[in-house]
Amino acid sequence: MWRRLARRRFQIPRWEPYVPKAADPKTFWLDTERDDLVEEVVRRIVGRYGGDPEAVEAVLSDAVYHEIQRLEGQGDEEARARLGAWRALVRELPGMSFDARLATLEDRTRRMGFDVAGNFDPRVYRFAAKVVPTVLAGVMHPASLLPVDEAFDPELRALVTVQGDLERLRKIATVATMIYVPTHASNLDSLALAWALYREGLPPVVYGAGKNLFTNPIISFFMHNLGAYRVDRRIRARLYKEVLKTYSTVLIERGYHSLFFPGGTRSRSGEIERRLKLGLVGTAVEAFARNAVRGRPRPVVFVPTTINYTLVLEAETLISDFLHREGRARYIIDDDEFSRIDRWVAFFHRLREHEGACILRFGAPMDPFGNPVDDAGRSLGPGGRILDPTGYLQLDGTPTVDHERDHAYTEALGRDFVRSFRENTVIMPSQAVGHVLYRRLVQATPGVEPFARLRRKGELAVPRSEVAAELGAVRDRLLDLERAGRLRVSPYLAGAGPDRILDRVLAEWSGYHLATIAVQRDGAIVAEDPRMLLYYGNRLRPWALEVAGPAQQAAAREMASEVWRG
Amino acid sequence: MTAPVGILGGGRFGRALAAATARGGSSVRLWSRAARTFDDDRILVSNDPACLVPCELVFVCVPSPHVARVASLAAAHLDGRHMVVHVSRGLVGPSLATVGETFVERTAVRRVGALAGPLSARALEAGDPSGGVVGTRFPEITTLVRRALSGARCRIYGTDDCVGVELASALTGLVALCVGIGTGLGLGASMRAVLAARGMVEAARVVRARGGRLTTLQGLAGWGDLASLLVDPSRPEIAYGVALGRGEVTIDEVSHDEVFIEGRSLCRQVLGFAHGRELEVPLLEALGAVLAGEATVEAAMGSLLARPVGSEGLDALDG
Repeated sequence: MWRRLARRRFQIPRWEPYVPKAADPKTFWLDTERDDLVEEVVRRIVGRYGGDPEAVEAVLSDAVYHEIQRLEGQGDEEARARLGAWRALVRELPGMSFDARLATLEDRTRRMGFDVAGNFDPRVYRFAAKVVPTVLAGVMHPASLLPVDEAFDPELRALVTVQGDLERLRKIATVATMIYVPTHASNLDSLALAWALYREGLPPVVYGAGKNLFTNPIISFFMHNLGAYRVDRRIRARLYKEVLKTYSTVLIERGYHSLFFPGGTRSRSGEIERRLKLGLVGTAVEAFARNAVRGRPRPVVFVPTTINYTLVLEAETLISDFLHREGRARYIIDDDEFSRIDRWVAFFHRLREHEGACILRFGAPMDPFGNPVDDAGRSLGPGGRILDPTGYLQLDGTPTVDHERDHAYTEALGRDFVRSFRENTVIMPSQAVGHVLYRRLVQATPGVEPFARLRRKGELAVPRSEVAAELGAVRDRLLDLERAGRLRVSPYLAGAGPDRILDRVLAEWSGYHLATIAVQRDGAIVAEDPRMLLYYGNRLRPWALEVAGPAQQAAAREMASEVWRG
Repeated sequence: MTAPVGILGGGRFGRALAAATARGGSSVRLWSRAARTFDDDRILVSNDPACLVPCELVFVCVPSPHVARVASLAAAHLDGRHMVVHVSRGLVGPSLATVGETFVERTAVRRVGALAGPLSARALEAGDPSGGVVGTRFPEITTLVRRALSGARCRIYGTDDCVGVELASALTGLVALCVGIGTGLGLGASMRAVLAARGMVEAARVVRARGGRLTTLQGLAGWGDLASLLVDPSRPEIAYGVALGRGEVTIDEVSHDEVFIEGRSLCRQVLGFAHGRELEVPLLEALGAVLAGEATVEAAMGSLLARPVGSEGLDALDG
């Protein structure tokens, strides 16, 4: 029943439409502009195909084919409601006049547009900002459901640490359209980021979220009312992808701050994203170009962001998915820890004592061409020279929109994001411990096929003193890398003694994860679940050779070259 | 009015491009350290890089060892409007960074490309029919290069594999040097062809490891370029190789300084890259030993011929 209720688009009724005030962030306009946004999407897409009968037929045929295939496969309530209309279109399409086909394209585009478009209710926004932390406080301190400002806020502040040049971001956000591009480890990411923006006085964002989140009983209400637009990854129709991209382009052209996860989906392996899906990032580049062509070049500023957890809520499901090579089949996971209230309670309960359990770090902001920007959102060239970013769009002195060119800019931007992700990754204690223990496992099983290695549950026992010594050595090398600007180290990992770090990580793991990851027995640390060690340790994989001492080089090389996908 | 075409570097190829571009009707801004004079008053020569500011398309015609320094010098005058196309056969540093990547790293320029293939300064100067390929991710660059060389009877093809073109051009120059040495040693046509073909297999291994496409090597930037070098003994790579093979020059002499300097540093970089990735490049190793003065051309050729003969290794390239 929960799930069925959650599927409904639940909104709080309003007697009169909310009229945004001048000081309101742009996102507050979303409900007011919603219909107009969708109509603009329809106008553009129909306009794109309008003059070409063959293209109209091709895009409709593609939509018919993919939608019937999807709905037949689903066989659910949605299939019963929609399959008939698509089957009817199969019969009618061959005999339709061009005008009728165009009208059908317009109708289908509009339906998809309204299905995608998000809502933003300022009342829910203010409510969520106050109440959600209180609820989480209740989870963490069940005995004392105190008002948020008095009891909980300082604790949540300590739990979620925000790093980066916030003052600069606040200034830029007043003159530019901000595009946050974070790493993606958990479905908590969008919540953590949204809350961090609110807490730090940065305007709210709109973002594309998987449709499964709209049916998640815990957060569906908020997804429906806090600017998220729905992305149904099951829909393969080209028209749907165009609707999504055009909707995003129009939003950014109009100045809506946005959030994209360029990794596309949560990192299954625990590694930092290396290969990005840049479709939505490309819409921001296009939006900047379109505004420039219209003579209204509003700066678009990207903020690569890393979200770093010492515990990942859905870690067990994610690494299982990765290892079962089911990435394609289970691309959409809707039955993981994220949809279970008991796992949330256990998760937050475990984290409550740990300062900096989530570190959200904003990297240096950049323009669509990878240049740094100053406080006023102006692009800076080498030596701090102020650049005109519309120059990158010019041919014969005039700005143009050119998809091939913008695709090249977007790919280059993706490489800048990957570089920024690495430099701004904050290595957490659990990741360092996971790396050290997994490396010991590799050392003990040289040349063994990686999947076979993972079956060695509970076989590796390392004297605790050795684990602590290796952890100390890894930490020191990580600090060297931090000094060179190559990555970041969490304050706890940087400051605490190896024994304390080890105790804390073992306690965190045993208190939350259902699987036993590692335990201390007779003075030795026993690796009980190599999968989870791999998951947490993978965060350090790009630096495996550099954090290894001479005795661990061979194992580090083996880790760096492990191939998991067949 | 279209923007003038910029040319960075007043060496022979830079001057030939200036002349060919002016013949097509474009005005030209040539940045050159040395004073240069032209009959054509559409060519403005200056030793101030600020002369490039009004240009959109800028050809870079400096040897690769100077590219990083020149890019830093020009950085203050280049911005997002500029599109840089280089003609260098060189690569920069041990990771085989391309000249285009060096400009992106050191300047505000993002739109870069490489002009390569069987182009020669002589054909451009004389207005003889010729051809080349522009590798770039930016279609407007190909458009502007075609427009600039429209008066040069030069057929400019395009590809989006910019890295492939840059790598192919650099490596083909080294292969030509090997064939030139073989010619100087008196090898017959058959063995010279073996050197060319095996050299291109080694080039393919490096191109693929560096992220270029093998098919690009089969086009104008690779085999097309090599074919033109092999049939024209006056081309610098071949001429220097022949002189080296005949013992007419030693590696200490600087009579062919640009080819020697660029070839030696390029070969060293490529070998470092290949060894780091365990690529098999015996011909380039032999060339490296000769250019470093560690082996005579006879000894290097002897060691190559003593190697066991195996599979061509083309299947491995497909994989």
